[in-house]
Amino acid sequence: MRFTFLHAADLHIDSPLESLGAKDPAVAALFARAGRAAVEALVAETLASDAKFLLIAGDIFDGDWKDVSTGLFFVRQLGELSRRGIPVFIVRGNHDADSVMSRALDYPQSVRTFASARAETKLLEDLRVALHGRSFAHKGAADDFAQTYPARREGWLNIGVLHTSLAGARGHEPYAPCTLSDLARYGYDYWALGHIHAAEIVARDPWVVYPGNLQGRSPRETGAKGAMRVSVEDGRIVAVEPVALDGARWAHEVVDVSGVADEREALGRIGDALSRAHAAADGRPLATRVSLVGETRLHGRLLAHRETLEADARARGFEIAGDCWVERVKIATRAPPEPAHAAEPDALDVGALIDEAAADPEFAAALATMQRTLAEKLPGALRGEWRIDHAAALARDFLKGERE
Amino acid sequence: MRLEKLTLSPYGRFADLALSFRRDAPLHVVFGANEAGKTTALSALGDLLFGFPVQTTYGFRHDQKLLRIGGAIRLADGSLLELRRRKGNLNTLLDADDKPVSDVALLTALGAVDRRIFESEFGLTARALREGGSALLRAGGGLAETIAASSASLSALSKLRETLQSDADKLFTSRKVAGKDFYVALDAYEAADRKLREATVTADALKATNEKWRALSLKEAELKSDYEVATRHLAKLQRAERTHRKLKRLAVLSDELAAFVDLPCVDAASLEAWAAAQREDREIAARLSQLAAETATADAEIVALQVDEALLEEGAAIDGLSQGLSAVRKAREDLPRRLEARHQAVAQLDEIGRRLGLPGHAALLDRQPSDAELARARTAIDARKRADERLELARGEAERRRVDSERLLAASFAAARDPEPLSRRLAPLADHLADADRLRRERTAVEAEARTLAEGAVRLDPPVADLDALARAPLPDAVTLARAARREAELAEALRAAQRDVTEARRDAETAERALRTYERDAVGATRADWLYARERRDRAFDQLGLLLDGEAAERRERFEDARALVAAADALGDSVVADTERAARLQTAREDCSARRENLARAEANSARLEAERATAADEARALWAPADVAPRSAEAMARWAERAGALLQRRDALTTRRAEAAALAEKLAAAREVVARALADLGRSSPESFEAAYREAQAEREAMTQAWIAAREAMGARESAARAAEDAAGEAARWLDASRVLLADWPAAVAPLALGAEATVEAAEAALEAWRAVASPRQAMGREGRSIEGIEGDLQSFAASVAAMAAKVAPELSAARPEEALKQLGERLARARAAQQSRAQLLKTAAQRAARQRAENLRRESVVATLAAAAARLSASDPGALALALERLQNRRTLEDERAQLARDIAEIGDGLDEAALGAEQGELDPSLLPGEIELARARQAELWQAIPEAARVVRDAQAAHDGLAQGRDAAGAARERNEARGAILDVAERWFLRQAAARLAGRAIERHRAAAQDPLIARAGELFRVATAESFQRLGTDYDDADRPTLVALRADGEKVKVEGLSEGARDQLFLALRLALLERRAGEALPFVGDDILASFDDSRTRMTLALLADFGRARQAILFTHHRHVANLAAAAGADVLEL
Repeated sequence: MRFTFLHAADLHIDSPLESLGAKDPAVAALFARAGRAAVEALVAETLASDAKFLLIAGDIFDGDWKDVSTGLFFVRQLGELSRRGIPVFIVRGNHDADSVMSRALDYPQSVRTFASARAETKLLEDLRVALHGRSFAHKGAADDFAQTYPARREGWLNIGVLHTSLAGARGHEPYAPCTLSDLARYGYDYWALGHIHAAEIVARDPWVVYPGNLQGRSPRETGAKGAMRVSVEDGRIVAVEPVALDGARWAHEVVDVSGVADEREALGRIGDALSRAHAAADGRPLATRVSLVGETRLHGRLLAHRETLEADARARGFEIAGDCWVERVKIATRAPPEPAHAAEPDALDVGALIDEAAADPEFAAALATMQRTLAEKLPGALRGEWRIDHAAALARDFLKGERE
Repeated sequence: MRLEKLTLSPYGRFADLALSFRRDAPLHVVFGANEAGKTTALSALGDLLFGFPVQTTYGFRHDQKLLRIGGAIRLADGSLLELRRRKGNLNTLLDADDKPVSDVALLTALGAVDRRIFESEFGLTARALREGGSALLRAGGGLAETIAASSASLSALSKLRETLQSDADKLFTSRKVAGKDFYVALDAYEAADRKLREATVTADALKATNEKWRALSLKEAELKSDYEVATRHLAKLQRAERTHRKLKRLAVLSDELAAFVDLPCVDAASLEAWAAAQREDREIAARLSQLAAETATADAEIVALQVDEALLEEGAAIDGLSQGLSAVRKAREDLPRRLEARHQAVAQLDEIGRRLGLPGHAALLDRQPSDAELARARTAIDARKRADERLELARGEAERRRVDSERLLAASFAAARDPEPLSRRLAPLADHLADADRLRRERTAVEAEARTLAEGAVRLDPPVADLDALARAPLPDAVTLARAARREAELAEALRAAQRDVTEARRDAETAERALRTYERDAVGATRADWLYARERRDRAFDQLGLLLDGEAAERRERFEDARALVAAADALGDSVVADTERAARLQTAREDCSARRENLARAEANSARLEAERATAADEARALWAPADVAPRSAEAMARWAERAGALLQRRDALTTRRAEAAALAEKLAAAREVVARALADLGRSSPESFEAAYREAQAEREAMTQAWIAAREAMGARESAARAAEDAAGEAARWLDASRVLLADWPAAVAPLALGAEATVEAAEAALEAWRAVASPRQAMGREGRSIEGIEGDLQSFAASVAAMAAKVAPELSAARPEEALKQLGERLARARAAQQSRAQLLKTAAQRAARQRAENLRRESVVATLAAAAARLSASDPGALALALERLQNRRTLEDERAQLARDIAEIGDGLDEAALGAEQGELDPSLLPGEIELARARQAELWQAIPEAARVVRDAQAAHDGLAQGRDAAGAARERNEARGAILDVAERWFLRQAAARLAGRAIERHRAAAQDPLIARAGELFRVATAESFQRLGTDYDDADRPTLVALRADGEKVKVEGLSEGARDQLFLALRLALLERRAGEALPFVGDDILASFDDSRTRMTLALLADFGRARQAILFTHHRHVANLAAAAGADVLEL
């Protein structure tokens, strides 16, 4: 018998994308429905690939998201699968456990949510599939969470559904920590994991798979996003392949501007990078963060004229396509080392004067005061995010760049 | 570093130029007139040190690959660096054989200085010098800013700091200001946050809307149920209302139909057929009678009609002629106009022929020239006219130029004199104008102050007539005045108290005396004897009353009343006698009180008198105090104030005296200056006005006039040469046009011959003839066109008349003699009448045929009706038509009743809502028909009430459902969250932008401040020395002061220690200060000293300031090389006189 199922996780429906830096509503509109469009694409893909069931390994919603219409949207989408008789298996992740909104949802009967009190097994008799899973009862999970899963059911295709960070942090908070060998000991055929937003096939025997999140939400979540389509033949996993379902895409292009003569040449390199990124986006709206790196004498000018360069880069993006947006241009270049100043400062060496003033501890103290002054005016939620590192050096390079 | 040699071979306009600079010369001046290559040499120096720029402008004459600049540079260590430079990107330094050499030594010497720094710091143009002076003014004297302004780089940094600070302030300030980017983004964030909260649909909110929706739905269902019940009840009542009368009528009909049981059963169709036949028989008879009458009338009309058949046959031809009638009328009207037009065309041609000397239009048309001939004539005429005009203009211009040239040759400019000597004599006095102005203002102010003081002295109370006398007189001191004022105040207070005591004591005494008088007056009352006498009279009256008790009642009453009055009088006197005792006691008391109060009054009056005496003594003392000043004093307090005011006036008087002395000194200084100006004017043969200002201005005006005259003389010399050349050019032009005119005259006869003119014809005659020939075309065409039209019209009219005459002869010979239009009109009218008669006859015949057909049809129908009536009579056993009619009537009545009964049954079936008669009867058994309307109204009202409530309930349910559905669909909370995220990003972006700009501005300020702190003392000291030289020791040095904000400021110090702020310096002095600061800054440079290069920086200075500034540059040039480029000869001369080396390009 041959069939397929889909494995998704970390939908985070209606979780807003990180700031695009776009004041133009038309640009914002390109990315506005990306998250919901990805959910709709997941349902459409489940139907189109004639999948026998859909697994969602946690974090359907953001924990602090209270808008119940988000849940109703998800229920409507699952309704499509229910009408076609396609069951959906869900474990609640740390975010779901924290979500007050999701508790009030009335899922269709074909949706089967794993209990949180203990791990349990749900069977699909006709397919001879045993699904083992356990939901998070609250945000934190006990260290032995993964050890509570039931034993393999012999003669069945055993699938473990688990929301975990595995042993490594992988850039996320550790939840339900366990090791690969811990999972292997269960003898399951497939571990459908969630929580890590980057797709990864951690192991193939047994299959331990993160599908990644359904829709990238920031420049840190780049590339294609979606779910895993798993093919089963005669009770054995034969193929696991990613399916891109995202409604919009993020990219982070690191552009080396070492040796460029001027901003125009730098802009040319940015344009090349954007073209590559856009070609890889499969026609989806693309938001790209461009980080300029390398050692260049333009360092100061790039810092000083970052906004202009960003506007030019955006214009270059629009030349490529109407949905090719540059989220931000970050200047991560460095200036070439300057020759040491003479022991006695030259009265006309303004650069040396600036360097000396920038190295003055009093200047650093003044900058710290400035940072505090501004932080006091920020909304409470943003105060923790507002920090400028290496402020004195940045100010020095910025000033020098403005002088050029 | 000193430049010792500079070679340009080749470079710019120079193929091989070498400039040598003497090693020990304090100042080099490179002189070159305009276009001599001064700028080229300047640029060459930069190219030598730093290389050719990519786009050089000095390769216009020579191949760029061949451009070379050479130089010899003496470094600070004494070594000589000989260089050659070519254009290129790499290895551009060459040796004598054009082989690349290392540039390490040069780069080491240059250090951090690049071309931009060299040109901006070591180079200085006149414009940059003036802008530098202005920058010092803008710096407001602030030391750090002033020092920064003296350096191009630091000045740029200072401006950049201001720009950055301005940019930062636009983004964010700690005080919230709407419109700043940060607060705009913050507001957007908070708005989006609010929007998110409002857009978030919570589970509780959704549940609440769901429950509300369901509750309202239940309420709506109940309303609908009630409505159904009410509707059924109303239907029952309305049904009864509709049917109860019909049910009753049905019962009546059953009784009436019982009377027709003897009639046979006849089906309705037969009965209807019989009745119809009976009606139709009567109708047919009436119609046949009508038709017979109409036939008779129509026959008579046909006989009366007459038709002209012959005329009708020619009808089409007559119509054709009538249609052509309008064309004939138009042709008749058109013919005279065309005849007139042809006549006018012929007349015009005759007139043109006359103008050209030809006998008539026929001859004219024979001589008509071709268009080509006319064009050639036109060309020839235009050419001759143009040549004549140009010749005339050229001759006029030549004459004017000749006159101008002769006038300029005759003019003399010997009177013009060089204004420079006078300028030099006046230059030192330029500042004295300000002194004169100051003196005038000072004098005015002094006079105004004197007037004010005099007025103030007079306004004092007591007034002071002579303030100077008052100043000399001894005045009481403040302590004495205060003591006197205090004593006066105490006496016044005591006196006021004593007077108050007197007043109160007097008031008390008067009150006591008034009381005593009252008691004394009251003491004159009833005595005891009076009382005893009254008692006796009372008793006597009682006795008399007792005697009359048996008498008349009236008398008894009278006596009783008398007795009662006497009793009352006696009682009153008794009371009075008792009261007298108390009154006497009060009187005694009042007398004692009055005496005591009189004594008090006497004491108070004595005290008051004593105090008055003391006050008089004090006044005498005060007068003695003010007597030496000849002032009649007022009160001590007023005099204390008087003394203060007088003292203030005396202080101002002292200050005024000082200012008068200063003004006098200034006047002496100006008088001396006026003598200098007077001598200068006398040398010019001019008298001098008395005042310095007038004299100086007159001298300046004279200098200006001399300058103007001097310039005018120079310009006039050039104009004289130009005028001579212009006169020659104009004469040549006139000769050329004369030759051209002769050539045209030779071709003239052939050109004008086609115009019927001879060779002697003038241009004007030829133009007139040409115009006349051009006028021929229009009348010639008109004459031909009108002639053809006239022939056509006349032929058409003749043809029409002939056709009409022929028609008349055929159908109406009596019209043959009439005019064609009249005859045709008559024929038309007759034809119309014949056609009308013909049409009437045809219509009558057609109607008669139709009527005959109808008569036949009526007769045929009557046969069928008669057969039907016969069958009915047989069925009903009616022996005659009367019996048949009666039987049919009864049958009809029975039929009517049956129909009514059937109709009622159908009605009940229709309006009984499906109930039969029995069911309706049962349903209405309990209803009272008379009450039905009222009950129906009530039921209808109830139903309407429910009906109206249902839509509202439904609407409320819909709203609730929509609210629920809307909530379920969401309120775009995700969009609001997205907006918040964008606003968050915007805030952080603005914060970063602000921080960078604010931090950079702070950093720039700190850098400038560090420079000031490091350079201030030695820089100010050295710049002060240079400034002293530059101002010919008008200023001794520079120093620092502090402004109101305790900020260090730069000041220039005169020999007497006077501090002059930057804004107090003249424009030229500020420029010199800027130059001194710039040069002092260059001297402080740690690296190799590069030459300072000035580009015409003295152009705006007068000779005096130029000399001083040359001295400044020479002073600088003793330690560092100074090179000055100029195109002013006098600057070069002054420099040479000052010991500078002058190189000429």
